[in-house]
Amino acid sequence: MQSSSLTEPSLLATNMKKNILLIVRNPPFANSSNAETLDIAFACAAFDLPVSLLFLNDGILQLANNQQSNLLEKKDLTNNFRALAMYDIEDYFVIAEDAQRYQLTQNDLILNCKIINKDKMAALIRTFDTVINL
Amino acid sequence: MKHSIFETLHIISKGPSDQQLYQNAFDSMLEGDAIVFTQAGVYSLLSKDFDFPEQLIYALSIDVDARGLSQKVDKRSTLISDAQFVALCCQYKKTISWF
Repeated sequence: MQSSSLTEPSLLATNMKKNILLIVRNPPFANSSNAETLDIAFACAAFDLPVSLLFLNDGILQLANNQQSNLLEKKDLTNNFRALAMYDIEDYFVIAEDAQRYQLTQNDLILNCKIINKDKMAALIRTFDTVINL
Repeated sequence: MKHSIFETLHIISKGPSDQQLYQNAFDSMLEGDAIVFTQAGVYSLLSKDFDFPEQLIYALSIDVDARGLSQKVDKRSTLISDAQFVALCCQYKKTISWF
């Protein structure tokens, strides 16, 4: 290592803070990946890493309000997703085409999402240092 | 926005019948990105339905050989070893796994 300053912990903390995009692609109750994505989001928040979420494809269905998971005796992630805001994670994206396909409007979603067109998605993804796609 | 030639490495490990996944992956690609096919993803190199994108395409040779495809895969792809795969992951700014 040429530069000794790189090993300073304080510099590591400031210089290496990467912004992270988590992509949610699964509908609710399908598997554990949406819950795991949440775990990653909260872990990142604990380390003050800037996190954004993209609900892609069936992922938007996770945000549908009025879910009644008790009927399936499964864990409802709605409140967990709502809790993201308390950890200053407030940057959410959905794709307009997905919303249209499932007839969901902003009023049907539990989070206040930015709606982007599909052709803007690649440019959005490029702005992040790290992308986690579960 | 200035682009380097090594932007995002998209790692696809599902076969081409998973159309939604392929659509999502291709919608996420820009110039400077590349694709690595692993596991069942290597079957894309056989499928006539598979529209080759303009991005560079790599496939893990161990997965190609294990599936008996070494003589059949499309010549537009480059077969790579595990070590070369690791090197590519380091070379590109970030990786995105599609599975």
